[in-house]
Amino acid sequence: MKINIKILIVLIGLIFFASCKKVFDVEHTGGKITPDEQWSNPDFIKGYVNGFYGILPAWNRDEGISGEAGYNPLDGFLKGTYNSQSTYPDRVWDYASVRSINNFFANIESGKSALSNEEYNSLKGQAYFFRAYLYYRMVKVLGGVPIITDIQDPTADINTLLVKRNTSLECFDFISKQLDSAINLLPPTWGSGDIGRITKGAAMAVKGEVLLLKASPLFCKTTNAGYWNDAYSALVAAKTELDADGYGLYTDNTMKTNENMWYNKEDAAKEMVLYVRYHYPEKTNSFQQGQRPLTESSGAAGVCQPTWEMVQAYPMANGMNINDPNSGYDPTEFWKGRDPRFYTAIVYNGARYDFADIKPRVEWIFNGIGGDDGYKSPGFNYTGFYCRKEIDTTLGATVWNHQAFDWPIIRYAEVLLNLAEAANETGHSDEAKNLIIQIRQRAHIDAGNGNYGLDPLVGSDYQATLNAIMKERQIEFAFEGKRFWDLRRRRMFSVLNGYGTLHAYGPFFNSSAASSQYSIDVTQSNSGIAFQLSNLLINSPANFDENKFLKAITNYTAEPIDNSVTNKINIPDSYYFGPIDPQYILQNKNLEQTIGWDNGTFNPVIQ
Amino acid sequence: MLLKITSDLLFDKKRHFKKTLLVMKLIAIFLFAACLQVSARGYSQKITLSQKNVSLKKVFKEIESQSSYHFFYKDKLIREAGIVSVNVSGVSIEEALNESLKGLPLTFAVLDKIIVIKAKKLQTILIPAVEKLSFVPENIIRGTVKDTKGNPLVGVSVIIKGTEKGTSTGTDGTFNINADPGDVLEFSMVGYKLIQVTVKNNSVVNVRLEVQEAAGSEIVVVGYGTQKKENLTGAVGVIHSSSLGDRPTASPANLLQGLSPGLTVTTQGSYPGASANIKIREASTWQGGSAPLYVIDGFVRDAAAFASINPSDIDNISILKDAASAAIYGIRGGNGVILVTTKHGVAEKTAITYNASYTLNTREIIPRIMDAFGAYTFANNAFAQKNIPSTDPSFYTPDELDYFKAHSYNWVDDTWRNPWNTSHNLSASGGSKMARYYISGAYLHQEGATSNSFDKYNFMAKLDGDITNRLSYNLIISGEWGNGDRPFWAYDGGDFNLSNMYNRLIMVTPGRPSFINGLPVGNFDNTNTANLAKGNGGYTRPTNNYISPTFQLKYDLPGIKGLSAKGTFAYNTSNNYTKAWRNAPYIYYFKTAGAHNHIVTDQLDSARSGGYKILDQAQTAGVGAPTELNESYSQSSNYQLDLMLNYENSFGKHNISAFAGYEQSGSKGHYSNIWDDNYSNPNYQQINGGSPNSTDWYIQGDENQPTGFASYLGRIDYNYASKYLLGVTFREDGSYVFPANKRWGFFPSVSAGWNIAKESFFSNYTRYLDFLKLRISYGITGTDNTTPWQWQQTYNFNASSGQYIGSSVPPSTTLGSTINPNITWERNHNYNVGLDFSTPNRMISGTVDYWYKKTTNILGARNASVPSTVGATLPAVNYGIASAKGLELSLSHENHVGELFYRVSANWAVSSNEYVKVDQAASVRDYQNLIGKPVTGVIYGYVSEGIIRTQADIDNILQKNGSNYTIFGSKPQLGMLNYKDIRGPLGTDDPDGKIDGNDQMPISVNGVPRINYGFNFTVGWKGINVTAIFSGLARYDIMPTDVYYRRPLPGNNNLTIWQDAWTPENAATAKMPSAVMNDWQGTSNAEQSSSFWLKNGSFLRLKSLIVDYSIPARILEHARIKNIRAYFSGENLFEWNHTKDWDPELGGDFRTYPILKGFTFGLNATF
Repeated sequence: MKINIKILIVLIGLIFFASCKKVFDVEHTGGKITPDEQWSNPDFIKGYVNGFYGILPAWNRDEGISGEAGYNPLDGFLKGTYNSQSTYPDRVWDYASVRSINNFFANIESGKSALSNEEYNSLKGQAYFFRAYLYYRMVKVLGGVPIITDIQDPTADINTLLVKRNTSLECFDFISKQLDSAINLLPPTWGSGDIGRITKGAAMAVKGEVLLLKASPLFCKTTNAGYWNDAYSALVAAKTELDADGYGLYTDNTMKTNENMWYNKEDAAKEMVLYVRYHYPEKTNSFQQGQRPLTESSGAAGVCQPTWEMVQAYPMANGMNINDPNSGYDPTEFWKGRDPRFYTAIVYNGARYDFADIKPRVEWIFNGIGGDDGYKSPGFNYTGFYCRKEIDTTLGATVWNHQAFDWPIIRYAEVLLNLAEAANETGHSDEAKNLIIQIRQRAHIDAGNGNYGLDPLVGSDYQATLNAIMKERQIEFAFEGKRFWDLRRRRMFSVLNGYGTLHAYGPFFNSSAASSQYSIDVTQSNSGIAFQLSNLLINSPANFDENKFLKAITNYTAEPIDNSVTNKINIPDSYYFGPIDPQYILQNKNLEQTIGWDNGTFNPVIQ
Repeated sequence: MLLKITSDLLFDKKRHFKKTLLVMKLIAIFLFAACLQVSARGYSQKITLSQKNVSLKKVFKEIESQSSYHFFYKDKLIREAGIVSVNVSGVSIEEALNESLKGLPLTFAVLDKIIVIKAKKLQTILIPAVEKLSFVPENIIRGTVKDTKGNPLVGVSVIIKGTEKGTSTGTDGTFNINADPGDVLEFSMVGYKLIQVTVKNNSVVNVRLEVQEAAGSEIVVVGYGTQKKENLTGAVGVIHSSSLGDRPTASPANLLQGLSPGLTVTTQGSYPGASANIKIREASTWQGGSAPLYVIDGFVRDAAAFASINPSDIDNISILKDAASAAIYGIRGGNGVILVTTKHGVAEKTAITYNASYTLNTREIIPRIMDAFGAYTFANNAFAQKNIPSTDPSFYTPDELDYFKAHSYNWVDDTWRNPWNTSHNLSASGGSKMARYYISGAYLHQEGATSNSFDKYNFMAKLDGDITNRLSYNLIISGEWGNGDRPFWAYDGGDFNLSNMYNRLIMVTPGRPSFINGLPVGNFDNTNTANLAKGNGGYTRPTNNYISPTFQLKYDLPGIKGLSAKGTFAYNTSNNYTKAWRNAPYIYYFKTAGAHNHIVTDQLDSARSGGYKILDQAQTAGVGAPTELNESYSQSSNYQLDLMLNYENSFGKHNISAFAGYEQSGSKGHYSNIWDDNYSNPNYQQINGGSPNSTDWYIQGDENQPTGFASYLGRIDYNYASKYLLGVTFREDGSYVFPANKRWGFFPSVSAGWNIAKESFFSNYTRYLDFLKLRISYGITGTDNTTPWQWQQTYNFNASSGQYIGSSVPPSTTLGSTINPNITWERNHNYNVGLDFSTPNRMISGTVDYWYKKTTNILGARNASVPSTVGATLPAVNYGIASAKGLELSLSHENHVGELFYRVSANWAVSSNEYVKVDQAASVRDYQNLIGKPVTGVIYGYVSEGIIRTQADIDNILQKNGSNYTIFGSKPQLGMLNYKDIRGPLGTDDPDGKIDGNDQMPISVNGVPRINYGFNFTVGWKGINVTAIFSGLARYDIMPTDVYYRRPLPGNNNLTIWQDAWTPENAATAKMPSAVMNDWQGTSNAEQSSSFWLKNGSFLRLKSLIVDYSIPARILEHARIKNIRAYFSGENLFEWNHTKDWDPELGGDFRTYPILKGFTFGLNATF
């Protein structure tokens, strides 16, 4: 018995020694890669560059601040109530990505042997592009930011880490150089497996956009002809390259060209210069959901509601602005005879708005009837209009995210209008006019006398041409997240301030029935579309007066979205540039705040 | 000889049964003896003993080692004898035994080589049973002797005072004695106070003996061992099963509330399966939370395992508060330790216990919500103030308001069922010296407030015994199987927390019925939460189970006295499986009435008759399809291996106990998750029944990071005559979290105690204070609570780059965080000084502890100070320092007045903590500087200057602050809250004429309760016990977190407090700001965190009130039942608070699923 016990003790002892060594030797289940593996495996190196694509901006239509769409209450930006802690639109301070890209350049040479020369060049080209694009996003909002190209050691003496903001000019020069490197290395086109990657033409288009911003009144309060020339040259080069590489304006023979552009992928691809791709189920988004009418959105609606100001901005089909006495505009039937792009972007009361699962279908939106609760509830439709841009009506209510489309950051059309702007600034107003007309032709605006409804001064007069370019951008890129930045680039916040407030516009229909948000069934006959009034979702059919109803739908009134007396649009000039988040200044006293925010001293203006 | 052994059975009516037992015992003895013959050696039969203050067991073991005799005894008898001192040299075995048993109520008999120890009987009762039975005199007195808990006491001697006549109680605690009226019966037993009862004319005398504990003789479970309370040098709170077992609860955590100072227990609500947060003292770190370590029967387990213990299985719980007691757990002892010891079998004391209880719950605190008329009047007022015309369809018209006077609906009431639960527990324990057992099985069934339920089965089997006289074993197997069933609700966070569903139900506008004629109403809302609450939108059915075996071998090493070795291996594996089914239910539209169609009639809307299938909440949020099945499975396991050497010996008055050992532990686990959508046949709810389309399938899964720890540990406790005490512990801990050269941490502690009452100079005072001890301790514990691998530079692999390129989403790699090659332990320095005292018979006893903790090397990334432009993801570094301190008091008083026993005890603790060093931005603004501020419980907000009631107020404000003064960007307006302008943006430390984010300051430093306290009362009289437990928190401020508390939403429902919102009519008296200025559309003036909303969170709760009654033994004895207790208990019966609309114990949200009031009837029987 004693012996057995000894054996037992020995056994226990063995267990102890055997297991002791392995105790800490646990598997690292995080799927981590060692630095050696990272820079010797071509898939990992390519994967590292794939990660940079997140630097491209996510969907942001700037709706609340551009005047295109509106909500109650008005955004604090419009009301002038921002402070340095508010999130300035599209403000980026992404030094994590800066470090990531710097790390790429520090290591890519060691990975060169694992890559073909072509791969090596294109990877470096993409990295240069993203370094440029990242700084461009930061500089666009803030002006000069610290340029960092080394990999800083966070444990170093903190005083060595207290960097200063570079000037805006230094930043623009840095961005241009990075883009030049990218342009030299990037291929003009990619194979089918790499569609969506940055091309040489895209880098050139971005360079043109960057130089346009550098020369713009935002950065140059006094005109610098040299900068405008640089921008013009870069944009001419970009257009030449893009044309050579098969890019161009998408056209089809329907009046819905500008709507089809979003989903006729094969043909529309040539329009997309810089873009983010979506494809169900691999990469989905919820952009559409809130923008669809309630019945078609699985319960969420109310995103991107066009304002009356935006609705009025659309010209007529003859290209003339509605305030032109010859335009033929009838305020009582504002929806009649407008620019074809109006119908591809705006859903108004009584508009046909078919979806795969309900058709025919007519949209019915009463101003003053909110959703469930309260007055003009922001949950559902609020302004009297829905936005139909980017909506794929072939998808029903439950499959709204089954979309495949490209979200453009730069369309070919924008390259043209950028070029038009630079051309106009460098004395080529006639060239600018031609470019605008290309856009108008594509939109199926009546050619009229060949002017496509443009002011006769366009093409000869600088200001008239500039006005036409800005208008064309407003309409062509409506709800695409461009308008705010156009107004800012041209220092035109006065346009928004001039609105006073934003307005809803619709028939005030004085019956309840939240259910009237739902669509009306319509039937189609040889004589056209007829309302099925019996199916109108009016809760008290007995009290229903058809005459009153029909009268009501034409009895439109404009109402302020936010009628609070203190909430008028009043954007101060100090808002042209954004503030640095003050927490970064607390860390680093060398970072100067932008002038106009918290006693800031940094002047982002170049001249 | 045989006769002598049977003598205590003479009056026993269960003779035959006992005889059988006896025969069995004897067979066992002889077998045992026969076995031992094999290894018996020729020892000298002369005995030499030199034993001081040791147990009889030890003496017997010593005799066994010196002779060929072996002992046979009832453990209980020997234990009750307490400790003895023997000093004989070269005497015969009889002499040695006589000396050893001197003064004890024990005698012995020698059977061949077996020595049987038994209770001493008085000669006069050695009357043959047969004679006794045939001549039962008329003056036989019968009765039962029990302890104060109602357990029968065996072997109590009952003597007629002044005579030699007497008897002792049998195994069921009963006795018979021939005594005349006027005789005085003396009941005595070692360890119990003597009681005298005068015999009256009745023939039944039942008594209860009270434990005569020499103060401090109580055995306390401490880390890796036990200690006598008087020898403790650490701060250890002890809770015995007697104060736990009778209260109905699914989880033991709730039971700890109010019982120990410095232990803060906050309930997470009373939904089935709810657990509680436990905190021991205040943490001196901001890292890793404050959860204590749970150790169950020596095995480190998680909070979930603690929560799932069957409360009936718990024998005692020790709470290790200071480093002297917790440092032995090293890395994991930083937040204190909760040690749970479960019940075990006692040889030859067979007990079968059955507990059953039924509990009915009701809501204790119900938020005061407006009714329909109130809510819509309020809404109309708000609309009017916003200049919305009364023709607007949102307005409630007079005819509608009239209707709503009589028609108000409450969706919580529509769906609420009073939850109930029932539990059953059956356990048996007993055994022989060779093998003792405790087996227990429990079943709990809970029915929740919605159509949810929870079933739990627990079992535990414990077996311990001796393999040889040196080798013993201990085997524990415990397990649980739990089954839940609840309505599918996409927002319950995957647990039983039904708060989200509950809070939606509360806020439904009160003018809408949830069901009409049994049909769920769809008007106004495409989700009918009540319908989903009833389970019509699918279900979630979680099952979980675990099994945990522990095996231990203990060997008393030959050669060195008092040295033993012990090896323990414990393993636990738990499995969780959840099936969740979601389907879109039908809802129905009814015609509306009223001028603005706010009234729902009971007529189905013909336009939509036949029902209308809606999408449930999950889908409206864009997360899914009309039908979806989700199956998730997770498994985890952990093990712990302990190898220990124990040593215990005495040298004169020097007593030493020590151990040293090695421990190793580790864990691993994994989970997987499958979804399938779009079921064409919704009745086929199996994972392969859904859409075969690949886009409708989702799969997820991962392995958990495995862990590995190893430790060398030890303790030496020394005392001199239990007077001067010294304890030293150490633990060298290694963790997989740190790099090899920084992996090991040394965590020592030292503690000392002085039993002042044992000093001779104190002898004059012992009649006032018979126990007085001063304790002092210092020790270091550690924490490794940070992400592992932070010393390795890595790149992360992401299966998806998030970008669609070509026709796929390619993978990406990203740079991992920068590394810290020096990452190592947080060190927690603990100081404790304490005083324990007790008056004779524990009339008054108490404990005072003062403690101080300082944690250094607190791990955290230096994100605040490293400039953002570095762009690195920073690793944790050992940087921060924080301290905490506190004072704990507990006091109790107990006494007997005749047959009435009562005890009053109270405990109280206060604590605080503060930042000493923390990573902050270089030029942090003063008001944001954390140094010196509490680590937990700072509430930032604005300083309210009250409601702007009149134009004069506005004028004054503008005059004072300038005409450009704005409050969050708006000019001051009537009904707004105004705030104190404290400072401007960075660089402007003076008021800047703008109320904005820069004007915040700490408006309270007591956002966590600083004081916890409790008091308990127990009164016992003739089998009836009443116990009341109160617990409370104080010095506690709450910021109501619920958005609808601080911002009403006209059209929804609101708290009645908002009926006193500012309007022009009640401008002077309104208690709340205007509902309009408190804009319901988004940005708002009044909802900001401010002193206006700050509530006093202090409360006192009658946590538990228990009345129990034990049926007298004489009624039961015929049924061979030892004891039946019935009890009635009320939990959470009442709370005194300041928040009114909710329970401050749940935090700041009035819509949280409430803590319920419970009424329980229970039965407890022992056979």
